[in-house]
Amino acid sequence: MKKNYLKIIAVVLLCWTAVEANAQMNSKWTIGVKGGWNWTNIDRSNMGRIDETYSPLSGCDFGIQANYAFTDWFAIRADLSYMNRSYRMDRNLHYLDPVYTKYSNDYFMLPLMADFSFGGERLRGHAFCGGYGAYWVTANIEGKTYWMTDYYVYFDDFKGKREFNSEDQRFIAGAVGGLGLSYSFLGIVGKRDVISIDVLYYYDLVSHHKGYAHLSDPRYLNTLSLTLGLAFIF
Amino acid sequence: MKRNIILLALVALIFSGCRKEADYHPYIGETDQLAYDSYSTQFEFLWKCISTGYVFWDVDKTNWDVVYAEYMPKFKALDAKHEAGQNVTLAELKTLYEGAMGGLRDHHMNIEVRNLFPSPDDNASYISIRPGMMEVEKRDYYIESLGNAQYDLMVFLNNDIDAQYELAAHESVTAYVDEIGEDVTYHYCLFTLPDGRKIPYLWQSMAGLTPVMHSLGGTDQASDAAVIVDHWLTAIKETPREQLAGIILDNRCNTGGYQDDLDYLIGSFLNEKTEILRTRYKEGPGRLEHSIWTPYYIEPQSQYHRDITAENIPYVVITDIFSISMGEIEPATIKAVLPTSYVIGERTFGATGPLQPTTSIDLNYGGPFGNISKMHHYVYTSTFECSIGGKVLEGTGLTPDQEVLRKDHNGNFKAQLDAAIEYIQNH
Repeated sequence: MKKNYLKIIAVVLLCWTAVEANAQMNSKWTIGVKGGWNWTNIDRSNMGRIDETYSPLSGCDFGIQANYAFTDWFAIRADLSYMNRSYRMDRNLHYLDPVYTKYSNDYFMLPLMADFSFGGERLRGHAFCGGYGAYWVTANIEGKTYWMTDYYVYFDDFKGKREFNSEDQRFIAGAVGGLGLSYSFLGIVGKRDVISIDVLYYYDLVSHHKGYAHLSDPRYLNTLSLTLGLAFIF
Repeated sequence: MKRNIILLALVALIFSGCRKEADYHPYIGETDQLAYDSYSTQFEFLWKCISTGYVFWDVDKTNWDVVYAEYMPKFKALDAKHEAGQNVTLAELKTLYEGAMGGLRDHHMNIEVRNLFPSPDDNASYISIRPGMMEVEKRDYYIESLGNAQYDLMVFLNNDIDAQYELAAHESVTAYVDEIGEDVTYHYCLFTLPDGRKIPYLWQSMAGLTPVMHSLGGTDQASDAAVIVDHWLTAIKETPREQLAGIILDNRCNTGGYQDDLDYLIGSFLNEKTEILRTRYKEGPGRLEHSIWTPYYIEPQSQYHRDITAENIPYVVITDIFSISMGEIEPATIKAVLPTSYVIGERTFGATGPLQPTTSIDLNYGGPFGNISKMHHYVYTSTFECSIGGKVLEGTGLTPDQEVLRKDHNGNFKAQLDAAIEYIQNH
């Protein structure tokens, strides 16, 4: 419940800041919402393992975006989004090949990007480059596990919340970059309204597994996000 | 546009170098193939393998990083001593490994380490560290193992004219069981109370019912043992309720064995599929990276089935400090699942993590590894963490419902049996 309050307060603050700033700086602010899909995979070593393969899974992400234009070709953009970053692990050794786990992780993402734009007044292309901070909010797992006695191997399906432990690094950061396309038209809500499509690549630079002083095994998520946006220039 | 893309590519290249690489650690199943060239690398390999494959880090409060920081310089000092031409003895190695690893919670654990550069002063080729035994010997109720003295109990009972019960039947057998590869001993008694009611009693030297019962009806040695077990289970199944006072399973000095024995000891008394315990294995090299808890279910067994819960038949299990592994998982699960069960005796050893052989390390990424006969180390350690009734008993053992200590009775092993029979009489 406390986390939900924090989320609401953060969203309200960002919106309020954008609106307040807009009142002072004419037509430099664009704020809006976005939503879409993503594909996430994990980079990790195979330390101590020989039969695990990891593959990407899709997830969704949605949030708000705010953009402050310094010139007609350069702006700073900040997003606040809730992103599901999921991937899958499969065992493939001997008779354990039914064993798998789907890891579904929800993050609060806060990317801050330089937005280089080009093109005409209405249709513009964008190149984004920046960094992000993120907070790992929840983790869920689903899959099939096993146990073996001296005579039998048992498999069991599972699905549920994964509890965090002291090895989990919940605050992470990374680099983000990508491309976008926007089209603006006479505003219904703002002076002009903008629809956009962005392809962003999130590249973790902080491992979500803390590791140990003499035995580090970092894991990084990579997420390719495709979102549609609707924004308003005030 | 082109400039922006080049800029983005450059930035991506720079950032890709910002990620840390994993430290090198061999696949745990390969470590028996690895040779060491120094005492410190030997220690480091064992430290890393235990760091990644040990299943009890969630309940074991040993600070493994502090162990590394404290003991690595000491092992390097051994290297320096060896390089200076001085001998390093097994006694020195034992002192260091006991200090570094003797406090681990896994009570199955046995760490065997060979002296890389044998000293003329050594009277053996390798050391053996057993953290569980080191802990158990410090318990205030510790007393020497009964071992085969259990057999003497039976002789004693046969001649105990003052006993409040009679022996209607008594059968004993020690048989070599091929499938297990060692001897198994059983004592079956049918006690008769003064009121004429019967108590079928079984003592088992290990948990080997499943392989033994595979020989029922056969002609090998194990079939003799199977007959005794069959007599016990049949007495439980067929004795009329008014003549059956209760059941006793004596797991004192039971050194463990087969998990599937629970089919006989619990499944025979169930009416429906029942979860009896949960296990989990190491799912990653992180110390807290476990699989999810996997429930283990027992199906009702028809061969010797009796609904002892509905008939309110007391099922007493006797334990002692040497009830080890399945020898203690059995009473713990019986206590957790069967409402008429009751455990009498001593808090058990505390080695409750199921094991698989070294060959299964590929599957489980935990459990025993190495080979002392071929290489320089062997570590016997639990493959799974086990939770019974929501509790991990590793390192502590099962506390009985009624504590009766041999130490309080001058080592007399009959006091615990008397307590069991008294409980049944008063049930």
